[in-house]
Amino acid sequence: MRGLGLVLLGGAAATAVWRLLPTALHRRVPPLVEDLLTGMPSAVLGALLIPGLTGVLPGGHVLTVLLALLVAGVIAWRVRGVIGPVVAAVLVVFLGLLFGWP
Amino acid sequence: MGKQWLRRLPVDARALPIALGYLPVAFAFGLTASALHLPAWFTAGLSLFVYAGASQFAALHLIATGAGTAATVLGIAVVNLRMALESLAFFRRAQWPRTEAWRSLILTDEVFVAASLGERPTPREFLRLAWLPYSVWVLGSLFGALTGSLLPSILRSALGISLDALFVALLVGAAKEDSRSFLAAAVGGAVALMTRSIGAWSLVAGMLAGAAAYIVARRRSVA
Repeated sequence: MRGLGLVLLGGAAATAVWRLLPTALHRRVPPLVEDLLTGMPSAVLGALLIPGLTGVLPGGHVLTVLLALLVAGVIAWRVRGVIGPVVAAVLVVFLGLLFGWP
Repeated sequence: MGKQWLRRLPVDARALPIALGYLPVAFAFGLTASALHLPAWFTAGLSLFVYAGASQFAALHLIATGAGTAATVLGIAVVNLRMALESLAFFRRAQWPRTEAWRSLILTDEVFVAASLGERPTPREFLRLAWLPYSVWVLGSLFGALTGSLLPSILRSALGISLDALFVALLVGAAKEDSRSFLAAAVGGAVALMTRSIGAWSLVAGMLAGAAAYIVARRRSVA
């Protein structure tokens, strides 16, 4: 419980700093820092996504997971926002589990 | 002139689709936290005080894989780095006094996009746009955490993909703006995979390698 409390406090503080810091930085940052800030979130998303692909669903279903993420990616490419891709991926996995896809 | 009455409403009309969109994702977040047996106060607290979907899901992922407190906080901080850029871009445009900086605490990707289009918003107009999505996010998370266990197991399993689908959607969205984001993600993912043996710190290794790849690619394209 104490660990969760610290995660909550630390996460809130870290997020608040990112959101508030630019207003104290004279609204300008060096180009290298701006590149780093731009590239890092995508790097983190890849680092979170790729190693965990085999463990998304109990029992594997890796092909179903890949199909769902492919559908999510295609929809995200065509429309703005994250809701459509998420709902479509959930639907694909639901069908995959229902019909016993690999 | 005909739309003046809309400005007197307590909610900006653009807030409604954002809030409706947040609801299922917030519910899925609460549900995922519930499946990990995390207490509802923690789930609601993350939504209330962090209020950033990708990093909240990342925190669940890290907790589920046994990462420690420091690694989980670092994960939240790193995933939310883009908010510094959004906040920077938004405040450059809004030209508000620094006393209004606290309003950026409820600035999200979608609110940022909506507030950045059209006329420059006043602080009050920004709140009209931002308060409803924020409320729906917090309440939706709490609802998911409290009622998630009542759903059929097949639906609970299916909702487990929502985190990864969210990551894919965010990545594709970033790559549409800048294709080097794919390179950063691929390098970050590959390095994290190769360094899995070092536990949660593989995330840091992937993050640094991916960001370095992005910087190199950007410098090459500029040169």
